Amino acid sequence: MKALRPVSILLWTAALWPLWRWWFARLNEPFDAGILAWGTVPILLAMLWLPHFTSRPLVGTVPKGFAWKLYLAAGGLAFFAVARLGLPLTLAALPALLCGLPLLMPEEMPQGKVSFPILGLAAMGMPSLMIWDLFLGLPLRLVSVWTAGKLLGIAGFDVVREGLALVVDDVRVWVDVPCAGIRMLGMGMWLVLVLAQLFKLKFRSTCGLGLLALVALVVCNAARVAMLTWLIVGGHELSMTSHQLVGLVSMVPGVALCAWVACQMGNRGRRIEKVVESEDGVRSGAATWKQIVVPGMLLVIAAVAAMGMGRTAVRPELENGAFPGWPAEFEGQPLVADAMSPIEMGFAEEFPGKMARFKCGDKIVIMRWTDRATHRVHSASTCLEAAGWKIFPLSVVHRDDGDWWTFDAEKDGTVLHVREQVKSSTGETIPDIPTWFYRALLDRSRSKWWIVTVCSQ
Amino acid sequence: MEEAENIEPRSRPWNPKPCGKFMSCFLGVGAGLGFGVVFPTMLVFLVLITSLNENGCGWLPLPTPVHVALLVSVPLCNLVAWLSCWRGWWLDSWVPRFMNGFALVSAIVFAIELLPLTVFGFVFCVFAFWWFGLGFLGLLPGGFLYATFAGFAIRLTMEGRAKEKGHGKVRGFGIGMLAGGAVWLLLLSTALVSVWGLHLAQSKNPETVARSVKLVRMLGREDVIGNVAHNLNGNMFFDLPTAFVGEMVRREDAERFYYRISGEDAQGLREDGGRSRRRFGLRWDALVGGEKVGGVLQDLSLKGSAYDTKVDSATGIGYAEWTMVFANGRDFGDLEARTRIALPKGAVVSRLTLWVNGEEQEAAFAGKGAVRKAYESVVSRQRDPVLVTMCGPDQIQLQCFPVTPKGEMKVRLGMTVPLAVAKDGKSARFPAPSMVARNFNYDAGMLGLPKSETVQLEKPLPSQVAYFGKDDFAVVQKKDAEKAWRPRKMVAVVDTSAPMKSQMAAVKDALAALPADIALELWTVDDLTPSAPGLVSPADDASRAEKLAQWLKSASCAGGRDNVRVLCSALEGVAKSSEPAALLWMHGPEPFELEDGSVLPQYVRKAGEVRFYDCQVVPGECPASDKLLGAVGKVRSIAAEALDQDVVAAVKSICADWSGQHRRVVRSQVKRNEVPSECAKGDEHLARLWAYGEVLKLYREGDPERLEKCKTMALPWHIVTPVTGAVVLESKEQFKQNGLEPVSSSSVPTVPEPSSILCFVLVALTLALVWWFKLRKRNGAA
Repeated sequence: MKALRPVSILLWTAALWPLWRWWFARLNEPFDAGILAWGTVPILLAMLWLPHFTSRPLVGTVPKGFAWKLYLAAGGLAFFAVARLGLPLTLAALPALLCGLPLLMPEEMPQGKVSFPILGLAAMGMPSLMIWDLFLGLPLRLVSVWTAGKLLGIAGFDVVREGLALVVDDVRVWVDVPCAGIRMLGMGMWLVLVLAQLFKLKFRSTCGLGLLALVALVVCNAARVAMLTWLIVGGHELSMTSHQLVGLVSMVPGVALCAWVACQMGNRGRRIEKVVESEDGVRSGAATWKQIVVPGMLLVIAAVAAMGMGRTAVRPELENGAFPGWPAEFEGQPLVADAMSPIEMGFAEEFPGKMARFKCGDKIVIMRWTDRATHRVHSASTCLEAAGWKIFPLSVVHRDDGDWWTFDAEKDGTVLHVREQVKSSTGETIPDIPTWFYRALLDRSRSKWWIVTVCSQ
Repeated sequence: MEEAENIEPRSRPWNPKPCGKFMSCFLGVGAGLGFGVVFPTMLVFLVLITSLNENGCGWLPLPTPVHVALLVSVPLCNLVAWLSCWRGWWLDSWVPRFMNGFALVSAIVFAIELLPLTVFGFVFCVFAFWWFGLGFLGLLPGGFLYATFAGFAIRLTMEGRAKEKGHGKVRGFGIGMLAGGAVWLLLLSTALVSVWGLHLAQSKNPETVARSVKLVRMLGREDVIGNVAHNLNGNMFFDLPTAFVGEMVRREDAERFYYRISGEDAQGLREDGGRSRRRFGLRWDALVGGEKVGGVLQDLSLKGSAYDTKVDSATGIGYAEWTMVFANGRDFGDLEARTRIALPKGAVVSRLTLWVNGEEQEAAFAGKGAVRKAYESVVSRQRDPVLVTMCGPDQIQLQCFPVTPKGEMKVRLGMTVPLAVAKDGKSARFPAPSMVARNFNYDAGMLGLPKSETVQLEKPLPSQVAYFGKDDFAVVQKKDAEKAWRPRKMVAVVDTSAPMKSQMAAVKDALAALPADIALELWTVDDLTPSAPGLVSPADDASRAEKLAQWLKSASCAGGRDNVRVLCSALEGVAKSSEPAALLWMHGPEPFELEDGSVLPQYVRKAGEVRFYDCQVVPGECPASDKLLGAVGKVRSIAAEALDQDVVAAVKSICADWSGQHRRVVRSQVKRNEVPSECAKGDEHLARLWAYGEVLKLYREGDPERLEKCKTMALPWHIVTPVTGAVVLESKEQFKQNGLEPVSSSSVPTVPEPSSILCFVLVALTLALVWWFKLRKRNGAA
């Protein structure tokens, strides 16, 4: 009975072993400081915070309230066991991770039974930047373009919104994937979660603060887009440093507002806490075998099921004859098959479609073909960034064969010029992946898609 | 005195004594009026003014009258609720509470919609005070945010006052909120239906597409589809799904669906901010130098017009000159005037003049591609050209650039027109051209616009007339007596798109005016392409008028419909028929091509001896009609007659050609010495009409040899044909500068956000600051 807590934690940890393995594998890959900050800092903070609250030793009498934590963890693991069959590992494991974290938390915490900021930090700790980019990229860009358009309109500019571009005085400024404000939003969320935990905010206050951060940072991003558009329209050629500085300056009001509101909420919470403190004091007693046995058994079953499933997620099969075959030439030059790197091969295994790498003159062409909207299609910039390259977004280039998104990648003095485009079987071209994702998701014409990446030195 | 004290202070302003609860008094009464009524009223006025002025959408796009009503309802309902608090009226009634709740929901929605502006307004306000020491304007966008708080305050005050008066709990607030929420939900659901319809419309199944069109017309909203198709600054909160789904569907699909729903071309509206601008005309012209006419530009007008005619009694040929003066009312920005003109049957453009610095500059006639290239090259350099090309059977496009700011541009168009000479040979009808589409304003009652007229001929038309050119050949015009061609069957294809609504009765009358001995087959263009004619009336059918009346009742005109498929089906049916038949296409504008009309010439050619009459009865661009240029020899346009007079007169004019003994005018080229000596002499226009007729006979798309022959034949006579056009340029050098550089690839700048590491540094600094303040506070307290 005394070892119940450590045993249940061990079971939960063991059942989520694929997640940990994947996470450490990601850490083993070469990555840049941005991804380190994005993924590891929140989870490290969450991990550091937990012992801070654990006032009692892991081994010892478990209180009555521990039963619901076991139920919750068992439910999370059961979901993980089933969801792994269809969902990506990270998505399937996220609920299991969050449901199990209360096992690590003490019975009484300043915020109640569960600290939601810590759960939030743990969720953010999943290295999920590319997923954020994919799912939130388009909606955030839409909101930013719309709001920035309004702001510029108020400032007296004649603005026309054309999809994800703003046209001011015949100058078109495109709000592409790196303009979505995902990083700003992510860091803002990270900040409010830390502040919420620092000020011991409860669930509702944490949600309110999160909502405020969302609105504030989206508005900040829109202001940033408006400001940069204004500068570009004014004929200023902005360096990357200027872009960064303008971005940073526009982020300051949002961050400051969130911090101030968190402080206010914290002060108010402390006053209420003092009032309630005197009324509190009812402590639950120790749990009995009867209360623990059912949830304990359920946890064991769920953990065994989760471990037993292994890597059973089935790669979706392609329709017979759907793949039209690789083209013999590209832009008038013959394509010569080239060997993929181990990382690319690993990626190709999971990819619901076809993937190949070619040499085409002095260029490297990576072609991906798929017939569905899949999160496994992401921009080459994400792969390169994860491989330690530094990305410098350039512009969208209009060519006869459609629009291409371009960027430069730099590592150890080597600079790659990369362009990327998604092309449908009907000839439609889309220069960015998040827009493609939603279009493919809602596509009724069952288009097939080519994702073409061209790298040249 | 006692009596006075006993009077219930029902109509007396609330003045709680002692006013200890100062905040409640302030919030409920003073702030209730100021923030709940006055501020929102000012904002409502501002929003309405900016929505209704020529700049279009303004701050807050109000897509439907319901949105406007909800906007206005906020201050109105708050006023009623506030009066109830202040004067003590209806305190025991549910009405003020209901209105309070109803207004609150709308205030919340509008407050969220205006949130970015509110934040910006606050910042502006701070800066305004900083710089100028005053400036409350920035507070205005927050009007609905204040109304939200004021609504809550009014509610609290109202309940407090009711309690004070001893009224029990009166319901109404919750129901009001529910009612307000229901209205917004209804608006949202209409937007969702529209989006769902758009999604369904991407299906390949025509029946599903037709169903989706009906669904959206019945339950959805045109403006929602319009926002997606225009890709305009739509309304994020009112129609959130559209803003999102707009990026998910292909632009072409949305445009196509928008056209099906509304009958309007989304692309034409997009350039300048959408439908609301239509009332005032477009401000931007994105089509300069292009082949489309586009929408009417705000400040461009036809300032003057003069139409002169001249008749050559010897040949029965008229020559008309239409001088047009275009004016640009803007202070800056050049504009291009574009118009499409339906020429009278058989007429040809033979002269084009532009006034450059007060001097007349005549046109050069060359191959169509060459003149367009020359025009585009000169337009790109902002110099003075004017271009005329043939864009459809008996239809030309005139475009000139630049009409300078506060300036004018004067052009003259010369047309050679064959006259319809009366049987007695003493008079003739001089038909007039009509504008089919234009991008400028004009006063329909303006003097000097073309009008058809009846002219008296000086002498009866001779039986033979000849024109002697410089070379050894002459063109002879003879009158040949022959029995008129008469169809046994008339296949009518009637467009039922929205613009045709006003013309349907006239269309019915025109069909009823067809000779009774000609069978009638009527195809109605609907959302779903019919597989068979909707009405079949054999020859000498006594019930035809009744059938047509029934058809008119059942035909409903809505949105934009695909004429091309129905025309193809009708032409296929005619091709199978062995008896002589005519096809009459009565249609309105079809600015968006649901189906590529390029197939039409093939179908017309396959239909053999059928005579195709293109009768556009409502002005506007119709690309499908333009594509009939590919079969120009077999298609006759009666659009000029239909637009200048009416559709009945136009149909009667073709019926007249089919009746009795027809004296056909034949023009041919002979050797000079073969011309009979008794032959009268005609002018050059006779040769022009001959050349034009020959070009139409010879013209065949995709046959380079024939096209070259057509060009060779047309150029010496300075006429505008399917293969040649006219362009006036400023200098001789410009004529040679036809080669355009290929469009170079251009790049679009982007605005990437700061890197993760910088964001992280900022967040870390903020945390450190917060921590430092916290520590300082703790130490201070200690």
